[in-house]
Amino acid sequence: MTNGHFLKVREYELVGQDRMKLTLPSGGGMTLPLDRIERIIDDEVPLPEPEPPVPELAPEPEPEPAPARSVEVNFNPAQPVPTTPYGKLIHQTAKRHRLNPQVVAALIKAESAYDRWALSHKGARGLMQLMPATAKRFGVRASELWEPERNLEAGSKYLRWLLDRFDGDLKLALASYNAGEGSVKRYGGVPPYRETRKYIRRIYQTLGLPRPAV
Amino acid sequence: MSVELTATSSLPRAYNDQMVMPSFLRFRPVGEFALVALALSAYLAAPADWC
Repeated sequence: MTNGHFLKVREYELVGQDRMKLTLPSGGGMTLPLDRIERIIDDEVPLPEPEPPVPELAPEPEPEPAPARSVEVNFNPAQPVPTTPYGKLIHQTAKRHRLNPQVVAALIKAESAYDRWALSHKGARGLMQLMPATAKRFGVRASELWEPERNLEAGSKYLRWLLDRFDGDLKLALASYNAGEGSVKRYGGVPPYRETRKYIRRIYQTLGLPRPAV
Repeated sequence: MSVELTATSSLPRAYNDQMVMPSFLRFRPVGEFALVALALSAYLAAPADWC
């Protein structure tokens, strides 16, 4: 559980696997154990994108099959086992936490590209790129995050918790997974962070959903 | 960018102290234990009429 305390930093650097060196905007710094850090947020707000120029004589586009407008976020026995690495494990874990395995697989693709040893420069670990502090909230130790079963367990529990919290709204749950519940609450929706918006678009694209309005 | 802190991390005193205290004043369990042990052994070894 976070307490909503945010610390503005200029730079961060992972020291070993368990500590994070933070440089404050004033120039001072400190080193904290990684389990004191819920997440690091690239809260860069992008400039509005320019409208793409409209070609004068645009050819008539071929009618394409309309993409699915939405995706079921909850588990349904008809949902197939994902044809991705760890597909069977993803399906089992998703079923246990009442999640659509395709959503979990798409999230893993965006987070780690199915690399169980993925370690981000922010200290997030494993398949679902969890911070040690977040894993601890969901009953998984930091050292267990390299194990696909335990990583999926904590990540799926977290995603379920977020979906329940946001009444099944996938966009808000994904925004929280990436930027934290605090940011979503603060902005009353998807926060205007470049990284978070790109992250949601990437997952929607993997799921074959239309580009979300974020 | 921002760092979101966990619930228990309203910066523990030790970290704040490290930012302002010179290193020789920082708490060192081993050093302090040795100092206490030395004082205690000196007290016990002292002749009884000193006290």
